[in-house]
Amino acid sequence: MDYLFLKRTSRPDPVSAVLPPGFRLVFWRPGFRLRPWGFPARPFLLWGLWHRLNVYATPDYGMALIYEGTQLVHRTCLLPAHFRFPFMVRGDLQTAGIWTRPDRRGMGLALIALQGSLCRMADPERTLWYMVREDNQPSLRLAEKGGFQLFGRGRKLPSRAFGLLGAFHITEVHDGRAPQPPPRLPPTVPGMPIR
Amino acid sequence: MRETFTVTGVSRKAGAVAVQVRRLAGDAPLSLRLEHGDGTLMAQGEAEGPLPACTPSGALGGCAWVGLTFAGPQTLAPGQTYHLLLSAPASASYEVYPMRKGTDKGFSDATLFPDGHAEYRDGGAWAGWDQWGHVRLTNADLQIYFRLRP
Repeated sequence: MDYLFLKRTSRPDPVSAVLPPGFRLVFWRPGFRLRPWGFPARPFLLWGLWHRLNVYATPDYGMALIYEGTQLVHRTCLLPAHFRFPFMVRGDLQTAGIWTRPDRRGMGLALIALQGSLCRMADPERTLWYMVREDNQPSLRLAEKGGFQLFGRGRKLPSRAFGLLGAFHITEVHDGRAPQPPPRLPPTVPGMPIR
Repeated sequence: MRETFTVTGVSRKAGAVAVQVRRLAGDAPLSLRLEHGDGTLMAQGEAEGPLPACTPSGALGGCAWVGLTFAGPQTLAPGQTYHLLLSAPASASYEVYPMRKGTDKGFSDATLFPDGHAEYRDGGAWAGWDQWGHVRLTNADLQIYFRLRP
């Protein structure tokens, strides 16, 4: 399965949507707790541990969370550059783990969380990345609404150094050229069927 | 697909050959064929021993060595070209991973196998490997070894 990679600067946009009454946006950062209360261990405990162990290039790991009353209805995670995204440079952020409770979809919550994150993490020099499976049209529409532009296409490749985790590599930029400079090549190569 | 190579140095007598492959599906063994550069048969047969564990394509691990013991020693003479061909029966599916020589990264001949390269059949013709956006590469080898006889 190929992935599409979109990017934009993290300069904040004028906020174009506001939360409905009864909803609130919270920006969560790891502290004593490595993950927000009630979040599953996978992948959030791992992501929190990476923050604690300085696996990320910067200490900017966090999440934009939207609650309706006390119920979580949306999350958008921001991951700093690390080994799984070798095309990112120090300071960059990757949106990840975007989820909206099914009965609250279509309300623009993801866009609000994204814009809230940009206000929080504003830095004109910083690139914000958005990775989406090419068949995930709703997520692609969200990225475009959020000001992301298509940068390239790539795939997840296994990583010898990090076992089953693998890393995402951009193999082709939007205009069809090989990316310059090319991404670090993975240690393994695609197999060839024997005929 | 095949590994084509031209022997350098001294003459060798090979008693067996092995190749590292992954079995994707089916219970039939892989076929191996050693032939001269002009295509004349030297030895052929089905891979011996237990089948490698069935592993999905792209998974980490799961590749295994399969081999063929020749009925008699096969002489690999210097200056002569040979091919080791792999073929899978219709009822089974295998894949093989080429090993890049690293010549594009500065590795010298002393650190790699400079006498041959992997090829696959592209239509009716043998062609070098297509990899990382490049085609017809001749800087990769099948993972093979010969067991020599005195």
